[in-house]
Amino acid sequence: MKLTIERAALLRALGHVQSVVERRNTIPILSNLKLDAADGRLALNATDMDLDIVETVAAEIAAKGATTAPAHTLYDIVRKLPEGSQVEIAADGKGQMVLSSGRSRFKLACLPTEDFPVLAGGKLAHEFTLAADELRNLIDKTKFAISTEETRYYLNGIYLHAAERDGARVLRAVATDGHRLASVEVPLPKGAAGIPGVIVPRKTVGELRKLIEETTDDIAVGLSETKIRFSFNDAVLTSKLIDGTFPDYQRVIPTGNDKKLEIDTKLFAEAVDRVSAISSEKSRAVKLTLGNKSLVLSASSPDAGSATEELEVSYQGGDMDIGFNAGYLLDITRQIAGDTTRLMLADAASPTIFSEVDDAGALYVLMPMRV
Amino acid sequence: MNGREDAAPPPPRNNPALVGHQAAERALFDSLRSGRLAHAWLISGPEGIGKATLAYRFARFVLAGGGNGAAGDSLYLSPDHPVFRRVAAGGHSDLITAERVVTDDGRLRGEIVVPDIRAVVRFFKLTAGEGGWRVAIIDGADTMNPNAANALLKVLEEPPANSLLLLVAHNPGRLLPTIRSRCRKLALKPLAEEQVTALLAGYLPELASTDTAALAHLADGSPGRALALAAEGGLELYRDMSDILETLPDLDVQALHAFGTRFGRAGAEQAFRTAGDLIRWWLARTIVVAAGGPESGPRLAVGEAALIGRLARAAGLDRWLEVWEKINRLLGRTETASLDRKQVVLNVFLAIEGAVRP
Repeated sequence: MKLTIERAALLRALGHVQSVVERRNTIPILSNLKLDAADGRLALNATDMDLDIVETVAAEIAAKGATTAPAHTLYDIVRKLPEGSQVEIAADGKGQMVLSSGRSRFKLACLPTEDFPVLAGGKLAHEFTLAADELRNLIDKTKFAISTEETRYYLNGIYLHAAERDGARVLRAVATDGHRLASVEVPLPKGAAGIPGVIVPRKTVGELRKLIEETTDDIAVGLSETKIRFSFNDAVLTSKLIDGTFPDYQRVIPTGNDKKLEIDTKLFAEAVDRVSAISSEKSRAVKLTLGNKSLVLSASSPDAGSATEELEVSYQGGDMDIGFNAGYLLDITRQIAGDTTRLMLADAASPTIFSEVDDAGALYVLMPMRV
Repeated sequence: MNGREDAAPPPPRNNPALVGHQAAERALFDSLRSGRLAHAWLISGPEGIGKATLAYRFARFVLAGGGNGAAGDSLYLSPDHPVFRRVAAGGHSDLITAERVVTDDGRLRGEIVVPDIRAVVRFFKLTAGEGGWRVAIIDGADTMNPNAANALLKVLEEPPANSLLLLVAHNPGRLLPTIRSRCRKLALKPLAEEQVTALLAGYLPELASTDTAALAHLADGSPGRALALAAEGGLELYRDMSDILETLPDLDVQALHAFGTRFGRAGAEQAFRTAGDLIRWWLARTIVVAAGGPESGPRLAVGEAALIGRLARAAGLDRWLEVWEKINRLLGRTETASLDRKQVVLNVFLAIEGAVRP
């Protein structure tokens, strides 16, 4: 293998893939990246055996070939090379790779590519495309609700599946940690009709979100019972899935909540933030006192004192008190892009639905707290 | 064996060869073929006879899609096979292994701890990366501490589909009964002495053939033990030990002290363990003779059989069993209670002297 590549291009690709590689690895091959040079392109492959990213960059290939080299060392070296320089990489296939640029020369120990994990291969049963915006939307609005509790591993990801709402077929992403639930949907893309419901692990969600930050192109999604693959621009991310059954979340989305409250999202969020300054560190409870056209937020703690703030709202459901975790309220209001937030309430002990007035595709369910 | 150049045997992860254990291999193979493979196996047997080698061999075979009508009837997979390569390098996404690890300060941990097992549990919560089986090998399952063992129980109780757990243990009695009861048992037997001799000759061709034979005999059918003995100068140790015992019933105290001092030094843990094993083994032979059994031992030292016969007659069977109990307890506690190793060795020999003296 012998190739020349611009430092900036290489650094950018390395930056994308190297974060997947664990810093502390007892198994040498898992600290390495696979480099594969062919047909004017260099493919960089990183994996932690649960997910796998391949990014390709244009390079001048003098001799085809592949090898694996330590990911973090490689990234460090390229990062420290002067801007605008050209990097030459040559591997002899005998366990050594030489990287040179200007007057710098590095010799790195390599491992054979046969030892490198294979995760990306194979055709997946279902394929469809999503606009980058749609995918970002699905991830951003649900990610916060993913559970981190390992005992409920089937909640440690986003549940992606085909569903139906009001006769329209949708692709829906759901995440919950038992206290709150987020459900966001986009129109069902062509080819996604028969997909199995899959749970995409939290780490994959995080890595994917980083990678698609600037993407404008459509994203091709491949899916099977055991794997999911996202392809866009020059990168392909393949991941294992969580092997579990996502709970029947429909049952926790209340249907009979009839008390409607509409409120300015921004004012509400700010008020919650202010009032919660006083609530005790651990529970962070905020009480909502609903009256005719008014909402009083209050919090009190035996040590710190108390706080109240009154807001004007549109509400005609009769007086009631309900408590929520302020952190959870803020998490939800942060997802709501529209000016007006709608709350559908039943009583002080029942879950409340939060949604955007202009966007019926996203809804959040929040369990109340006793206050 | 196969004319390999390097002397040291490859670790089980990279070892394509398995000597003996045909019946066990057959049992695994048939179970896989039948389509009703037990999800957990407890592979037990003495140390160093190839339990882990068999486990890795089976794991590779399963991961390579063996059993799906593949040809052949052994679990062998060529070292050039892509799955073999990835397993050997630790780069197979559907295989996870847990064993005692070397900690940051360079010491081998005495037990498998809970984070190691949690990684295994997490592994089974994700789907297979290559689409087939997911395999976990717990090498030295009997060294799991109670927390680690309990963490594993959950997976053993409700294993996901297409998952396989291979527990390797030379001391299965130490496992939690709840773990044992959830595994299909596969007990491996020691190898025949000829097999060990042949293996040893392959790995250590420079050894004199009499030494090879003696080691093979001392090792009780375990090539791993034979190699360990060879590496630690076990034969020499054994001869020195015999020389001291020869002086019974009045032990040569000076020689005994010199012998014991060896083990008192820092870094002599392994040598001490080997000496302990040898003493136990020697005592066992004496007990067999005291019970009227035949004498069977290597002729490492002149007049050894005579010595054993003489000692066996010097005290009754019950007395020897008492000594056995005492010595076993002492050796077992040395590490946990941080006893002085030299003192332990002296005590062991004095206990034997006490039994023999009229």
